[in-house]
This record gives sequence, C-alpha cells and structure tokens, in this order.
Amino acid sequence: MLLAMIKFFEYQFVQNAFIASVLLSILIGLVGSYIVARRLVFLSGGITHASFGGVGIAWYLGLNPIAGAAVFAVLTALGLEVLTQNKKLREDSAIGMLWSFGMAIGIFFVFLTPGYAPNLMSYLFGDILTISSTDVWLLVALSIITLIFYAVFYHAILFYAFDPNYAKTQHLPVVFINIILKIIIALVIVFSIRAVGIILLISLLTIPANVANLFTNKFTKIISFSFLVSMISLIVGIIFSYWFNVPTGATVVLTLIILYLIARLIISIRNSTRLTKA
Amino acid sequence: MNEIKLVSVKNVTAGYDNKVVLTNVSLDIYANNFIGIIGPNGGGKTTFLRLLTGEIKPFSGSISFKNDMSIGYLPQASQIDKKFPISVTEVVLSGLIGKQGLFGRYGKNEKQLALEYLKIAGIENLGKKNIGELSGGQLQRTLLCRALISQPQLLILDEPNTYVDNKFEGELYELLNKLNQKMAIVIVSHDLGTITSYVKTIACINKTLFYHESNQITSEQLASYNCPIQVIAHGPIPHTVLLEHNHKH
Ligand SMILES: Nc1ncnc2c1ncn2[C@@H]1O[C@H](COP(=O)(O)OP(=O)(O)OP(=O)(O)O)[C@@H](O)[C@H]1O
Ligand SMILES: [Mg+2]
Repeated sequence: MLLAMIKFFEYQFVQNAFIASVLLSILIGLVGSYIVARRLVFLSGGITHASFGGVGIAWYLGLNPIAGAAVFAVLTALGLEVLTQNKKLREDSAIGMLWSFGMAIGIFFVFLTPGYAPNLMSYLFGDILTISSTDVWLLVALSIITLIFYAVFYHAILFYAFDPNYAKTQHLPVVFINIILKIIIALVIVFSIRAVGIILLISLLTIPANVANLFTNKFTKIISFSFLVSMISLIVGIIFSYWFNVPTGATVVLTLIILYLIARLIISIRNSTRLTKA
Repeated sequence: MNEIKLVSVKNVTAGYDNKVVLTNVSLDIYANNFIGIIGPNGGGKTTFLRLLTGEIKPFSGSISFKNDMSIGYLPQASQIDKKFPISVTEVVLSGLIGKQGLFGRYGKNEKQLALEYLKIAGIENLGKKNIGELSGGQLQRTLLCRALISQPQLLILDEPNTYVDNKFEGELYELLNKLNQKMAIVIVSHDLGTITSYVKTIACINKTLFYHESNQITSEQLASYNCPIQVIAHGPIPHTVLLEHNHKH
C-alpha cells in the first residue's frame, strides 16, 4: 500500500495534476467568488460551452484544442458585451444564443473530422491526469497575472462588483475593470476544461464560493475558503481518476455537492444549538 | 456674483433607447445652491439626475462640469443586490472610490471616517453587518453615508426620505442645511410641503425643466409650469411656504 502510494507520487503526470489543482484552486477561489457574488453563473456556463466551438475547429485543423477553446471563450465573453450594449438584446438571451452557437460549431467540425475521436471525451468530462507540463506553466502564468490584478485592484473590483452604476458616477474606469475580469474568467474556464471538462465545469465555478458564503460574508474570506473547497474536490478527483479510472469531472462534482451538504448541515446544527441556548 | 459654477446644462434632450424623456432642459448649478426638484411620476426627475451623474449621456445639447468636480449620489431605488457579500462599512468606504481611484487603499483613517458618517446617520452599531441583514431604512442611511463620505462638491439625492422614519427625516433635513454651507445640493422629493422650507430654489420637471428662483411657490405657478402635483402639507409647517391664493376648486 505504502509502496503504491510512493510510486503514485513519483509519476510526472501525477505531480503535474497536483500542482495544477493547487493553481486551479487559486484561480477558482478568485474568479468563482466574483462570479457568484455578481451572479455571473449563467454567463460563465455560456462561455464554457461556447468554447467547445474552438475545440472542434482546432481538432479539425489539427491544432491544440485548448488554444482553440481559449480563442472562442474570450471572443464569447467580449461578444456578449457587444451584443448586450444599448440593451438591444437581453443578456440571458444573448448567452443562450452564444452557448448553443459554440456547441453547434464544435459538433459540426468534430463530425467533419475523419476518424474516431476518443480523446474528445476528456474535453467534455475532464481528465486531470492528462495535464502536461506546458499546461502547468501556462497555469502558473495565469495565476500570477490574476493574483497581481486582484491584489492591486482589490477594492476597485469589490466596489465595482457591488454597484457598477455608482462606480461609474465616481469616474472609475468601469469598462476597463469589466473587460479585464471577463477575459480572466474566460481564461480560467479554459484552463479548467482539462481538469473537469466542459459539461461539469460550472460546478467548480459555483459550489466552492457558495460553500464559503455559508460561513462568511467577507469577500477576502470567501476567496480563501473557496480555494480550500476546490482544492479538496480536485484532490479527491485525482485519486479517484487514478485508482478507479472514472472521469475527474464527475468525481469533483460529487465531492463538491457532498461538501456543500455537509456545510449546510453544520450551519443548521449551529443555528439550532444557538436557538436552544437562547 | 462670484459664485462658482459647478454644472452647466444647456438645451439638453435626453432619454433611453431613442425614447425622448426630457427636451430642451437648461440649468446652471452653483456651489451654494440647494435645489428641490419636484414633478409627477415619470416626469423625468431621475433621468435628469442621471445626466448630472454622468450615468447617461444627452441625445443633444451639452452638459459641462467644473474641473475635478466631485459628486455624491443617493439613487432612488438603487439596483443594489442585497445578497452581495459586503459589509455596511465597506459600502460606505466605496463612496471614496472617486478620491482613492483604481489603486485605492483603505486603511485606519478611511475606516475612522466611515465610522464618523455612520454615527451621523445613527447606524454606528451596524458597521460590521452584511447589507443583506439591513432594513430598508437602514440601507437607505448606509447609502446616504456612501454619498456623503467623499464630501462632494455636489450632493444629489433622489427621494432620500423613502424608507426612513419621520425622526430621521427631520434630522436629515437639518443635516442637509448644515452641509449646504460646504456643498451644493440637489434633492428630489414628492413631499413639497416639507422640502420647500429647506431648499432655496425649486425646479419642476415634467418632460422639461422650469426653474423657480425661490422656495415659495403657488398652485397657479405650479400649473403654469405644467407641474400637476398634489400639494399636501403634513402637520405644522415651520413657516408658510406655500402661498395660498384665492382659488376656486
Ligand atoms: N432605464 C430606462 N429605460 C427606459 N425608459 C426609462 C428608464 N428609466 C425611466 N424610463 C422612462 O423615462 C420616463 C421618466 O422616468 P424617470 O425615472 O426619470 O421619472 P421620475 O420623474 O423620476 O419619476 P418618479 O417620481 O416615479 O421617480 C418614464 O416614462 C420612464 O418610463
Ligand atoms: Mg425618480
């Protein structure tokens, strides 16, 4: 058993998976908290699924599917801003359109590509054990950029997120903050695809911040708490993928749901003991 | 007059999505002004304030501001998300965002300042609370603190008396009187009887703006400004502000 454990940690791909889950959790903590606080869950779901269009085209052309996904994710995020400007189209409708548009493009090109596509499954359901060293370096870069952005502009981000209209009356460059944050969201989504897959990614963006929000209302604490929650779920995901050969995404989601239920239970026990004390 | 002109609105037409709400509006706002805005529902009062805060841009005409002018704004029904994870103190601090800017840091001094404003609003014990836990009136007071904390040159209040109790409403008007020595104030209210005893001048907004250079206004004048508003006086009014003419209705 011990020997198996030691051997497990000696594999390069296992090490990559662990490093990636730490970095991903940092990103999920920062970005997921913002997404949940600003109610951008549906928007993030749209960006996630639309990025499949990029996967499909890159697949067809023999390019790196994650690079294709990145292009589509960023274009979708920016496209939504353009489409909903002047309120010509309501945001949720615009999201619905781009969501299915991206998926349609993806399916179209996957079917145009000759041959069987077994690896495609890993983009849909996630396989954290396939993360390469290059992916890890890209994650390091994105994590550093995002951390610096949050550290430097923390209050501007918080106050903008709370009330964009007021921030605008105070001449805060709201367009700049919004666009940078949307691009970061899009890139974090793309980097999470490898780990949990397109279909289940939304849970990683939502559940950790919601677990955290049960215990605290302070934004900084929500960020660090959801980092922990996401970390736990990804590690459970790695272990189950390795030993039982199930897709990482499913394991991560089930772990997150269980953590959420435990958190709810703790809260309700705490509340009922408070009531009986009083 | 050596009064400083803060805002100059000239022949402005404005609205939403090509729907015109205000036409041909002109008004100059000076540093010592205390303007009460009245008018019927849907007349365009909030739209006018949004022009002043820069939230919307005019279709035509021009609005010019004094250099480095700062604005504090209390929105009418703000679109604030009460589930947002932010504390009362943080909301008040967010009023400093214009001064502190993109890179702003909020340390001891700023938090002390926020506390002082919470005291003024009588909610100093709520600083740590999340905004989701506040009553309507407590939230209104919090947002008032946010508008005041930057000590703006122009304070814009859209129906600040909604949600708050009578006692605080009275305190608020006294406070505004004092603040007016340092800043211009523009306030929207449907409570004509009360505001006219505090404001210096009145603007009636109904599709356009009529400026009335006094705080005393008659029903006839209101009618001539095309401002069909009901004048109800609550309780004893400090001094007669509404000149009653012989009327026949
Ligand atoms: N965001 C918006 N989009 C489109 N039309 C709007 C918007 N806000 C207001 N309007 C329209 O503009 C007109 C003026 O609205 P405004 O809110 O300025 O009135 P108001 O004088 O403040 O009224 P109230 O006394 O009810 O606060 C109304 O007919 C309203 O329907
Ligand atoms: Mg209004």
